[in-house]
Amino acid sequence: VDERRDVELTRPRARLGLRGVFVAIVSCVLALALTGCVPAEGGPPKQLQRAIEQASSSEMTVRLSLQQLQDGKTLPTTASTTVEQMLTQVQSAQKDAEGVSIDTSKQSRARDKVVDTIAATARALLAVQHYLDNAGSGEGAFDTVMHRLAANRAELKSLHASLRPTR
Amino acid sequence: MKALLGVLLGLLTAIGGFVDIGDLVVEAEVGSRFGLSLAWVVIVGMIGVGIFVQMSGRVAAVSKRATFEIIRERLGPRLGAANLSGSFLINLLTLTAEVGGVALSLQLASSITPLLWIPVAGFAIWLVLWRVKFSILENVTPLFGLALVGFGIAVFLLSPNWGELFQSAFQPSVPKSEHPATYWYFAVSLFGSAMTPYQVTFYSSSAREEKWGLKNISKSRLNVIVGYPIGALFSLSIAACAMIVLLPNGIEVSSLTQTVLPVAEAGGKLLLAVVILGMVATTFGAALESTLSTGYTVAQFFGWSWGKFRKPKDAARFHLTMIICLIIGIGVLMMGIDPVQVTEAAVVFSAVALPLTYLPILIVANDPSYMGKHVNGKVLNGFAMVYLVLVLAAAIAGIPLMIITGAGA
Repeated sequence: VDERRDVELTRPRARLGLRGVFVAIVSCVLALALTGCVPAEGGPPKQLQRAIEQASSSEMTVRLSLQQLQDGKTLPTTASTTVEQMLTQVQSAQKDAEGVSIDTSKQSRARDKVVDTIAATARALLAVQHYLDNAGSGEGAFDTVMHRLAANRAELKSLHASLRPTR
Repeated sequence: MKALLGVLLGLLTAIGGFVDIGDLVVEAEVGSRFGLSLAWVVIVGMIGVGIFVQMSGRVAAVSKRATFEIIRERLGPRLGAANLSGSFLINLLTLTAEVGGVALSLQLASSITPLLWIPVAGFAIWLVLWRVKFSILENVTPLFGLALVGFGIAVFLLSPNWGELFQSAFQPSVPKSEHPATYWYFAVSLFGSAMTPYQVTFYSSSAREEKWGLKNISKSRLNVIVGYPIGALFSLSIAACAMIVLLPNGIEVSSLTQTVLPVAEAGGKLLLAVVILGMVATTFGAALESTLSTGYTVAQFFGWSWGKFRKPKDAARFHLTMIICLIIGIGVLMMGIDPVQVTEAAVVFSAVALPLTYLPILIVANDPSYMGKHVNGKVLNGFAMVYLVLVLAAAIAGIPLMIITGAGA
């Protein structure tokens, strides 16, 4: 074993396979680029549904975290981080909805409605953020933000049900 | 007594070091969308990584060479360089994900933006790699990582419907709301997060750092056989927590804050604080290991002086490589790229790059000129060949599934 190792280690260094390295790097870059080319199964309604699901998931996360904070189950820092990150997620969902290519005027109206509702969700989360920044101030502030989130969730749910994915 | 303590320490570090940012993100994501119907992949991955690291440790102990010294020798410089590029890029991606994971975990405890934590985490990683002894850095963070047992405690405190949990795990099926391609995409992701290439590079190099001999092989085998299944249970408990709390509420995990919601629900602030400590420790430990792995791969391949057992001035290029990689990782994260997305990409590309390190190790483990009488036995080779097929299948399917499903979206 040692003899073999000595022979291998003293062998002159051959030219590195630069072409192989190049091919590997190009393949990785290509693969990463291709991940952006997602086939839009279900058409625009499905894409809009997906944006609603993302916003709805974020909204529910905030509701759960807020309730945990109220019950003394979570750390204020964790609740605050949750709201901040979920706000980013909702804003991303709004951008996704805005970017959906539509085919008909009916779909255009649906898209506008989805964008408006997700924007309302973002405003509701901003209200939660404001509530957390001024924690303890104002009687009933917790109930107000929770009701707003619940109302928003109901609207997202009914909007999701109204969209019918195309084949 | 000292030997017993040594064995116990090895076991605990094997358990505590099993989970990293890939598991924290992907397990919670999978649990919130598929319940435990992908639990079988965790078991398959756990056995696979056990076979793989144990084999690489044995090769290092017997042949006195680490993984990339062998790859260079066996594959030659041209093919070896292609191999190095793939493995190095995956290590770099994993390093970036782990540094991001440290920052996100610290954000949970402080609510300070990760952009401020990223350079701090990067500096701390460099400082530890520069100053701290290998034996300490190898053992301390996994011990704190044991705090992730909090996920397991949370499962019990949540008083789940056990029948439903077991049914989800033992009768796996694709939920109606999900496409089968998405199910298989996450199967590949979980497989990649269990069998991360950096773990193998780190394991075989640590065998050289600690100057393993033949007597270390049985101890290593014990750590893997006992420690990894317990580590896998930690991993599964993350998915179980997500299934119990997040799935019924329609919450799909897309950030680390959602991963800890079930823990707070179950055990309140105390358990949450324990789990956050575990998350910081486990991501920090994995960041150390993946950073070391970038240095190991390059230095071993080019025949540079390497290792933490040498002073930095005696392994200057090894340390410089790690510093450059850390700076690149920090730079990528400072551009505002979401660490969770980096993690999701890292686990899939880990699966894609897995054959690059798996195959050479398997070949050398069967080569009597390197291994003498310590070549793989028939049973181990049987398992290893099955895993070779699995590893190749995951590598081939990874990128097409990523494209078809829009990275699981």
